[in-house]
Amino acid sequence: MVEINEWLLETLYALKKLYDHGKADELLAEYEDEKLSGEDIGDISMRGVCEVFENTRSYWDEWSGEDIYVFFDPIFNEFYGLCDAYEERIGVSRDRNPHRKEIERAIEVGLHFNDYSYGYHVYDGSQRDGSCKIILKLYPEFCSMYEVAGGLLEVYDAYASHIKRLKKELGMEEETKIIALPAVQAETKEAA
Amino acid sequence: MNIDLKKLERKLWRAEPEKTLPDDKVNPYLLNVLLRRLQAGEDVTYGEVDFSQFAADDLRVLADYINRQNGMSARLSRLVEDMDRAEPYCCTARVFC
Repeated sequence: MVEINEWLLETLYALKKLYDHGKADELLAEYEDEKLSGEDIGDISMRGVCEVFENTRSYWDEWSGEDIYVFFDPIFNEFYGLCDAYEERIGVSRDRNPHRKEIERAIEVGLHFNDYSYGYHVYDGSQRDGSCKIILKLYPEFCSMYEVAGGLLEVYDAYASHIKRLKKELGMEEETKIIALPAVQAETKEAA
Repeated sequence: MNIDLKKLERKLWRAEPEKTLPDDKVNPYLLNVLLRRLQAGEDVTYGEVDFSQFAADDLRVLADYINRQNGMSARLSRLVEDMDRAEPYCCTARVFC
């Protein structure tokens, strides 16, 4: 008999979050014939985390026991580049840019897990190496792995949404193509 | 523990059938398809799960439902144990001389 424990449901939760964003195909294909159980939660959760952004590097710090994930994605570069353009156009400082503040808040909400044993840092390109990335550290006691992929997807959505808004505010939206349809000619009837 | 079987019998006769555990908030697919199969001991593969039939938050509702179900089951088990432990009790009756 399959034991219906919380791990089984958490596994489905992690997969569902990825599925809703169209990022579960690879995992589901790999696990297609595997029986549902809570034993896969670790592997599925960790693999799911790596599916969210374009490039993910993961490390395990042997000394501290921390799992470290470094996320890179063009969406970060695009957002912070648009922020720089916005600040120059509008004449506001980085600290007063509402988009930066809102994305910070969105990251805080997205990366709020039912656990205290983790930390993260956002690099917006202003640091010495100029790279845009998010570093997530999960300490050894962290027990909410199933929530991480879903939280990262919320962060992704927030960046995507703000990019649209920034482009609109900067007048950089793509013009909507209007395709002219041929006029419908009225039918003419011959007199009998 | 004293159990009045006649009283219990009368109450059971009068009781209306009802769901002891409300499940109207549980997603129908999760409740009637997935949970039913798992509780029946069937193996369900990841490929058989239709992820389009439920929302992520429905799983939390299902988890709560299962916890309440387990709680009820535990209480029923304790009741059965109590009934098992109850010893027969002789009713007192008037002695007719």
